[in-house]
Amino acid sequence: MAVKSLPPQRQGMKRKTRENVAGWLFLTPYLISLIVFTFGAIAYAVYISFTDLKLFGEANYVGFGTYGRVLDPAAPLNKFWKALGNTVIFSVVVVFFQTWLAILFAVVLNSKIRGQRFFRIAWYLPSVTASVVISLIFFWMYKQQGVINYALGAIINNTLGLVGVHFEPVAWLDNTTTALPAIMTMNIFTTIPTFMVMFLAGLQDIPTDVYEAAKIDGASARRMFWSITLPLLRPVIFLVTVLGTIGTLQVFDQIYVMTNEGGPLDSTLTVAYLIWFEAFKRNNLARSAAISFILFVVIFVFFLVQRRFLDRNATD
Amino acid sequence: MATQAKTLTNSSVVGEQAAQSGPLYIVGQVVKYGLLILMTLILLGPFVLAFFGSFKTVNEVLASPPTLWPQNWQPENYSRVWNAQQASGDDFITQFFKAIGLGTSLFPRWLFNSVFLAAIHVVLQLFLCSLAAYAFARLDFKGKNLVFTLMLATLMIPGVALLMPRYFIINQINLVNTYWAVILPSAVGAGGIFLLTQFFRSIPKDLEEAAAIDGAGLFTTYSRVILPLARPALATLAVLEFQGSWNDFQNPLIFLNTPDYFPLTVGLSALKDGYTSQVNLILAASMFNTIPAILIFAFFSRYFVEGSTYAGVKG
Repeated sequence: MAVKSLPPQRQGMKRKTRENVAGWLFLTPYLISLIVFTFGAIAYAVYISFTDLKLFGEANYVGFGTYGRVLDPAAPLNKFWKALGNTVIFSVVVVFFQTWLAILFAVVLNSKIRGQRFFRIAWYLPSVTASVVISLIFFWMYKQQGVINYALGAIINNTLGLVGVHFEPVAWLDNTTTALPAIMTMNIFTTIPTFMVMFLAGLQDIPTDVYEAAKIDGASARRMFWSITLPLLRPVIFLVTVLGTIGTLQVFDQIYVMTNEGGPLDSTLTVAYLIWFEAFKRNNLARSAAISFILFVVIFVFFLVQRRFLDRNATD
Repeated sequence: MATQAKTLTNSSVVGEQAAQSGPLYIVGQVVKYGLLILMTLILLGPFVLAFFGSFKTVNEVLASPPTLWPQNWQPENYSRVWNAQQASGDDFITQFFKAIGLGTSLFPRWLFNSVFLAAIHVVLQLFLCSLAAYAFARLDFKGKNLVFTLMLATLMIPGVALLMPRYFIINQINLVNTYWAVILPSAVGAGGIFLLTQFFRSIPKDLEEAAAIDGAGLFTTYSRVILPLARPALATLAVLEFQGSWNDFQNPLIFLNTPDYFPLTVGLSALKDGYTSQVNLILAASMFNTIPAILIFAFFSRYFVEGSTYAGVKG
């Protein structure tokens, strides 16, 4: 035994150094990518946000000058606050509805229904389609003579029409008051399925005896939803809100495809679009970098707020 | 047991608390199925309309009131899109396309670019993410936890904030307007590493120990023991990453500026600007992106669902 115990020990020592080297070797490709395309990119963005760099020109250090001009509401042609307002409205409204509707549909789909499998697969379709394609399809459906106006007209005029309400077709994307809500509605419906799947998984993790105990105590179904289902779904709700918020605060593809540079009259201009626009249309790299950094701070603040209110684990 | 609980949670939503019979129950069922069918119409309707729209004449696709079934089928919309624009350059791939009789049409080239970029992306992600995941899940080395925490923190960074600086870096190494520009920055990612790490940790260690006793090195253990056992997780990652690359718009939009290199998504957006009124052609072009995505989903739907729940809920 004594003789046999020696080699594993020596091997163990060797193994330790070997693992130290191997660990970093296995990580090397990721580390290169992390250092170049994440840390390098962030460092570069922070650096030029303190300069006045344009695409063709010298970088002069200007301190917080670029940030000052971005944040100054009185600066001429400054679209930042307009874009931030649109983005925050977009994010708050879309996340609220997509989360609640996803819970609602997860609960409905989780119940005993016929064709459950069909609904699950069919509903997932918008989640696998490119945002560009969805945007192109809705761009067509939102036209004044499009199918959405036709459907709304048919529904409203045949019901409320009886009491004198008449629906007139709207050019949804050409109107400053309707363009952003139209894109938000599209976004809500096309993102519900992804989050619904997450809630379905969460619902299946809730132990059934909790409901049985509540039922014996005479709790109503509504009471059980509010007092059992929702609190136990809290971790999923937190995850879905965080993912939804990070996604919606960066909305870009839809704006690029469906609108003319965030129009009409900047009513659909978002921060992500502005970041792209400043860098690649205006060649104003410093401004783009400063706005990028501000967006990062906004996303982080949203995350902290959500963690404060939704994540019980953070305080437990 | 499970179904009973599900029925209970459900009934609260529909507001049906009566016994499993009687008028209230029937009303509840009607409301429930009404909701399901309405949602199906909203979610599937656009794709069905777009599919039929892609076979209509330009007048019919814009007609009011709209039609569902094309009055006059126009399959030639597809060939018109296929031959809509011509490649401008004359690189190796264009020459190859000419040699095999595809001509210099731009559209097949876009399709090729999408497939090519997605395939390379998937291969790189699977290989590089699994390497890192093996280190995180199985190897014990100094600084591991720090790097792992840093990696998770990067998931918070908004991708759009990295667009411009990444463009600058790619520009510094002279790769703008090459496939590499799209491939390199997303060759390996925190999401994929995290998903695989979670899975690798769930694999029992017995087999690896047996392999180690047989004298297998770490790389052999990784490639011969762990990877074969991790096939379900690798398949999930492959499907998700394929979809991500196939549908990606932002990265190719900024890194590529010659139409010859566009993937389908950017090509579609360019077509939309070219064909402002010919919606039928835009819809036909869209189908080239949508139908493969739907087919992949139809065959691998299990992996999509697993992927979307794995990282977050189970993790």
